[in-house]
Amino acid sequence: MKDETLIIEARELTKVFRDFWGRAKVRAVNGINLEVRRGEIFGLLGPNGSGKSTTLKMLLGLLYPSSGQLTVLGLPPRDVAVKSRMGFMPEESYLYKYLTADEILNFYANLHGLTGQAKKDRVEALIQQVGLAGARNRPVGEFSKGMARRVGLAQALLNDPDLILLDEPTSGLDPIACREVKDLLIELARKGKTILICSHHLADMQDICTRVAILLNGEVCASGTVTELLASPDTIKLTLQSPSRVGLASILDYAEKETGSRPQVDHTGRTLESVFIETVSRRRMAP
Amino acid sequence: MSTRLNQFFSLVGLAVTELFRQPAVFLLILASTAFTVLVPLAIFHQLGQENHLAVDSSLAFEFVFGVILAGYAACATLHNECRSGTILILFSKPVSRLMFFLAKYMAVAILLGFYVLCSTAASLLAERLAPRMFEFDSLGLILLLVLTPAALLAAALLNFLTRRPFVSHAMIFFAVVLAALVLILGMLDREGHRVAFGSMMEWRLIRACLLEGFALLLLATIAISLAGRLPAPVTVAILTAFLFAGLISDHLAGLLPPSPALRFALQTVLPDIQAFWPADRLTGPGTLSLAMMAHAAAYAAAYGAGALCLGYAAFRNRQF
Repeated sequence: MKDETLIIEARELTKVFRDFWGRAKVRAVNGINLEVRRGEIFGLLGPNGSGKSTTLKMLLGLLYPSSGQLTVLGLPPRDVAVKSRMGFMPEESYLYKYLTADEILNFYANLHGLTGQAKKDRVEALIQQVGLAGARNRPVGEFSKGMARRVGLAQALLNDPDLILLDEPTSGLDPIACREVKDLLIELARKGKTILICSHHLADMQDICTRVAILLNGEVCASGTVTELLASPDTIKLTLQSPSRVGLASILDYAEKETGSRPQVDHTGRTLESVFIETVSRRRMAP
Repeated sequence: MSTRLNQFFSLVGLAVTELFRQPAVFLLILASTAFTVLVPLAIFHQLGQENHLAVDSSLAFEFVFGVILAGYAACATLHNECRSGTILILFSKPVSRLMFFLAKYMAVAILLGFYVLCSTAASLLAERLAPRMFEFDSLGLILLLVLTPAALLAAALLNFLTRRPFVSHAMIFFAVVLAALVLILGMLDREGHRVAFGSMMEWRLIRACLLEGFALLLLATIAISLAGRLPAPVTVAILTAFLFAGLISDHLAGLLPPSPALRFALQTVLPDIQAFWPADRLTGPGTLSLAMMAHAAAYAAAYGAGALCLGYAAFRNRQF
């Protein structure tokens, strides 16, 4: 049964940035309404400057709304108690470059109140999960972007959060790591975690999001489930297992007679992503 | 409560670790020590006054470099955290802004404590190594010039062999070498003969350096309050202005119209740095009494608490 508990609720949320004299400079978010429920993977889409990051920062309590109401996990986002149930991975890997991956994760684990064996086990499990076991003692300043993103993801999951906020989670990752992250997010949502993602990678969003909202100039232009948004009510897609030439011709003739227009025939192919993952995996498995 | 303490000490520990791994911090401490110890060696022209000049110059260097260090460290730990974006992740954790702000001050205070230790050792060495009637302390100089590079070399070797961070280890080895030099030279006279420990050292400098340390802790509260908004050059410039204005605060108060309210306002805003300047009291057999030290410490604590409250008020509603 679907859980209807509201995790994020925004009503007429507005953020106006002002200059030194208090004059309105930019209306970054303009009266948006959002509802995100438990277990959803919700995508915030939009071009640069559409208000995605501003909305995310308001959810984190880093920016304060100019007007409107915002609750996260039933509390105002600035409440420290909310933060213990939340995980956040920013777009850039904002990490302490002088510290190693191990030191960083232990530090954040301390902030979440993890101690002793529980902390050790959690850090170890996440290091393994994001594939950083071989680089755990290197300063993150020496890491590639993809490796730093893995540390960023690990720190977001340290407290086993109920709500996970991710800004461009797959940016900088190779296709295999990208697939792993997507699978991980789907698995987390299945366990009842709520995930909100801001991203430009529309294909990734289509793969994993249950609902999306498209922002433009600080306003929600469209929202709904991915299936709803992608559905084209006047056309259907029929996939067949290579029929004979004669069989195909008769199918097309019948369809033309039925709809009044000649159907379009395409060969269904695999995606480049699936070819890449299959090739690299096969090579890695080879002795 | 224990969770909060654990969080607080984690924040302090991380900030201290970061500060101790910053090359600029090490260079400032190294430069301060080098100036403190080496400048008196170049002063020959005041016969009979060399050790007095060494005391004066070492205390002045401790102040000047200490102010730069306080300003730089406050910005490196707080302003850079805001600018680099690491604060975005930090404030997504269950950490209150007050705890974060106080932890940053504590980290700067720990670094300044380390700096005062190095400065104290350097001041003792400077007074001891200062030439007397054109005579250098050759033994002390040789030990200094051999052991200091050896400390840096040991840190480099450790980095090469075990990949441990160079800067923080170099800083620790450097402090150990300074302390060892004080102990060794405390047992020897200028010709290398064994003497009663400390008979050739100007121990009054320990209290003098500690007194300046109180002033630096006070100035660090201003630095951390500014660092929430301003970058390092501006913070250091304002801090220097506070230092110099604080040194002449009595004079400035005298320039004001004879209004008790105005005088009170000026003396509240400007720290009374004269209360921490010990050099004049070390002329001749003068000493720094414990009562005077306690008074200065209490003044630094009260002024610092006020500055921290104002700094936090400016920081608590900052948006990122």
